[in-house]
Amino acid sequence: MNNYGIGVEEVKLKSGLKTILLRTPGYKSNCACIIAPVGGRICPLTIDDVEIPTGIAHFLEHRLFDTIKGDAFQLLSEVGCDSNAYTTFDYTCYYFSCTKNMLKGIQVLFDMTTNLQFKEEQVENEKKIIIQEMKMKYDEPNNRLSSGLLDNLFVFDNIKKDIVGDEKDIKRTTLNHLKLVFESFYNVNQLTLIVAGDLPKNFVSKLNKLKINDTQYNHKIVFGERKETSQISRDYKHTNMDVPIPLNTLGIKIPLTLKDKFKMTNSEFLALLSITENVLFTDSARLCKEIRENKGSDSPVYGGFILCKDYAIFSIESITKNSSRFIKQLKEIIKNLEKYVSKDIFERQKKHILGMAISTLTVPENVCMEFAGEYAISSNLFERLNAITSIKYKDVLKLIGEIKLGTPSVHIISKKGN
Amino acid sequence: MIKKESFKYINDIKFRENVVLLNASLPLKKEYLAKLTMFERIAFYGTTSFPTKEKIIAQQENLYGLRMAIYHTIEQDLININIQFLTVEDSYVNDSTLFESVCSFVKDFVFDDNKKRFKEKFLEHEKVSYINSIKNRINEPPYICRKNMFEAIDKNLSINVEKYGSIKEIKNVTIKDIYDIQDIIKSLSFTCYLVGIVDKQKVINVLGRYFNITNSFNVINYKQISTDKEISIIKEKDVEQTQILMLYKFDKNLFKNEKISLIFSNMLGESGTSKLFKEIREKRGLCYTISSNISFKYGLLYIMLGVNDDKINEAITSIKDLINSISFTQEELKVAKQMFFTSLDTVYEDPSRLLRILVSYTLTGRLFDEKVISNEIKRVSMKNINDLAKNLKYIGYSVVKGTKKHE
Repeated sequence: MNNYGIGVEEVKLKSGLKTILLRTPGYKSNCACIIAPVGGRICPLTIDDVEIPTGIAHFLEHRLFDTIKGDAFQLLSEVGCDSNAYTTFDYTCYYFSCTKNMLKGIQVLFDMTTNLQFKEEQVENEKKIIIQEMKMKYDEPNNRLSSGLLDNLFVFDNIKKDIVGDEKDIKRTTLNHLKLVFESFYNVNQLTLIVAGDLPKNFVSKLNKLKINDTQYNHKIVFGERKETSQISRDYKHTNMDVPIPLNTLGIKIPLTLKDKFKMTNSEFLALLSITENVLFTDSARLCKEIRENKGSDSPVYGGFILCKDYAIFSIESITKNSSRFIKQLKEIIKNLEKYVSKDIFERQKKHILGMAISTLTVPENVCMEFAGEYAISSNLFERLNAITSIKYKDVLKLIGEIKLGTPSVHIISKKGN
Repeated sequence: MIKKESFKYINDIKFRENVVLLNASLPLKKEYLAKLTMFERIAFYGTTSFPTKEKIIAQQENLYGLRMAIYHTIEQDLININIQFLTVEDSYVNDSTLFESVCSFVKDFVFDDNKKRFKEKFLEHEKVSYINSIKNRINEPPYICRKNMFEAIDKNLSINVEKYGSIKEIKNVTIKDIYDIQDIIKSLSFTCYLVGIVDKQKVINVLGRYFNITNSFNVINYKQISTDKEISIIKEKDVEQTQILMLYKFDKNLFKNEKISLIFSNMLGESGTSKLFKEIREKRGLCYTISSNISFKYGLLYIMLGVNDDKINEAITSIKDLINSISFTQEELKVAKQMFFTSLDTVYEDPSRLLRILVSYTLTGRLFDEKVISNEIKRVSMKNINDLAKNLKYIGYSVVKGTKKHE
C-alpha cells in the first residue's frame, strides 16, 4: 500500500494485455478502463499509403460501442455498469464504474476494443452526430480560446487541430480509414487495462479466463512531419464570437524533453510543473494580485499547463474588456516571472497539493481515471505525488527561466466591434 | 451551541475528508439578494486575523487545501444560506487540531464583523468581476432557452428570480449593506449536515463551540409550475448550434412518488440506453447531446438537445411523437433499476455527493435511507412508469436558433 492507502500492481495477462491493478480496500465500487494509444495527435499519418483524416481516433471512439453482442452501452447497463469514453490528444479511454459484475463489464470492454463490428452505413450516420459535437465545441468560448492558442503555438503537431477533427475530414472518413487505424493501434499488446477497487486476490486468474481477440495486424504506418521547433505559427490571433466580454489568453510551449536537462523522470518533471503552476497562480501569490490591483483585468486570472505527451503549454487567461492592457501587463510579468514566486508559497503548495490528493484519491473511479490520465502521458500518478516533496525551490526558478525563453502567443476572442 | 435535532451526521471510516454544511433560511426578499451575493464574494478579501485575500488563501492552503464557501440559493419563497467547508481528516496529515483550526477559521470568515474588514475598493472590484461573469452566463444558449421558457409561462414565478438580484442592484451595493447583511446572517440559527470520518462527539464539541446550530430542519413546500398556454419560442443567436429546450409537466398525483419519475427519466433520456438517445441521436442522427432530467421541486420534465438549424421542426416533432406513443419493456425497467442501484451504492463512497443528496432529501421532506430507497425502487412497476408517461402534459419548447455558418 502506498501513502494513499492504494496498492499498485502491474501484470501482463496471458493474452499479452498490460494490466494495472489499483487496490482500494474497503470500497464497494469498482472502475475499469482500457486505454488505446491513439488520440487527436496521431495525424498526420498514412497507413498502407492511405492518408488518414483528422479526428479519426475520436470517430473510432464513437463507433466502437458496436460490439458483436450488441450495443456496449446496453450490455454494460444490463449488468449495472455505468460507462462512457473520451478521446484526448494522445489516447482514447473506454471506462465504466460499477458495484457488481465487474468481470462481465471488463468482458464487454475487451469485446469492444479488440473487435471492429460496425458497417459503412453506421459510419455515415455517425458523421451527422460528430458534426453536431464539433459545432457544440465551436460554440464554447473557453474551448475555442485554448484551441486557438494551440493553433498559434504549433506549426506541425496535430495538437493545433481539434480532437474531433475538421468538418471536411469528418465527412471524408470511411469504414476503411477506421479499420486501418483500429488494426494499427488496437492490438492487444498496445492496449492497457486499468482496474481500481477492492479486488480479490485471484483477480488476475479471473481476468485470464475472459475472452479477448489477440489477432495481430501489420500495416505500414508512416507518420507525417511533426518535428516541432521553438518556432510558432503566429504570435497573435483574433476570433470573432458572440461573447459579451473579450476572452484573452497568452501561452508559451515547453517541450517535455526539457526533463532531461533537469535530470528528472517524466513523473518528477510533471511534479515540478504542478507545483510551479500552483506557486504562480494561487490567489495567495503576487501575480494575480498585481494584475488585479494594476487593473490589468477586472476578472479572475487563471493559469497553468495544458499537457500532452510531449509538451506542456504554459497559459494565462482572463476575461476583460481591456485586452491590450491585460496582454501588455502579462508580457511584462513574464519578463520578470521569477519575482512572482517565493519560498514560503512554494512550501505551502506542497501541503495544498497533498490535501487535494487525499481528497481526490478516495473513490475508485477517481483513482482509476486520475491514474489513467497520467499513465497515458508516460507518467505515474503516485510517483508524481511522491516527487512533490523532493522538488527543490531552485528547480521552480530554473523552470521559470525556461518559460521566459519561449516565444509567447496571444489569442483573443471577442464580438466584432468590441 | 448545538442541539441534537439540528444535526444530521453520516459517518464512515473509509472517508478521508469531512464535509460540513451549515444551513439557515431567510424570507425571499429581493433586496437581500445582491447584498448577499457581494458579501459572499468580499468575505474572501480578509478577516482580522488574515487581513488580505492573499492571507486568506494562504491559510486555506496551510490547512491542507481547505475548501470553503458561503453561498445562497432560492428555494420557493425562501433564501437558503449555506456555509460549506471540506477538510481532510486530521489523522491523514498528522494534525489532531486540524478540524478545530478549520472551524475557527471558517467562523471568522463568515462572522468577523470588524469595521475595518470590508473595503470599498475590493467591493468595487468584485462588482465588476461578478457582473462580467453574469454577462457571460446569461449569454449561454441553454440559459437563454430556460429563461425565455419560464418568463413566457409567468414572469412572477420564483424560478424567474435571479439569485444575485440584478446587475443594477449589484452596482448599488455599499459597504454598509455588506455589514447589514452580515448582521442578519449572524443572527440566524443554523442546521448542520456532516458527512465524514471525524468522531461524532468531537464534532459536536467543536462545531458547538463555533456555530449556533439550534434550528430545526424545515421542509420546503415547492409548488408545481402550471400553465394552460402552449409555449413556442424561437430566438436567433450568432452561434453554430441550435439549442432546444422542451418542457413537460408531470401529473400532480402520479408525481408524488418521485422514485417512479427518477426511473422514468433514466429510461427516457439520462443514459446511452435511453429512448431519446437511441431514437433521436443514434437512429436519426439529429444531435450529439440529448438529455432529460426532472425537477422534483416543480414537477417538471426537461428535454434538452443541440441540433442543426434546419432540423428544429424534425427534432421537436420526433420527440413529441416519441413521448405520445411511448411504451417501455420490462427489460428497460430492469436496466434502469440496475443503474439506479449502482448509483446509490457509489453515492455512499463520496462524502460530497452524499452530503448533497442528504440535503436535497431533507429539504423536500424525504427520508434518506439506503434500505428505504432500495425498497421503493424495487416496487416501481411497468404500470407506474407507463401511467406517468401517458399523463405527461406538454408545455412547449424554447429554441435558440444558431445563425452562424461554420468557418
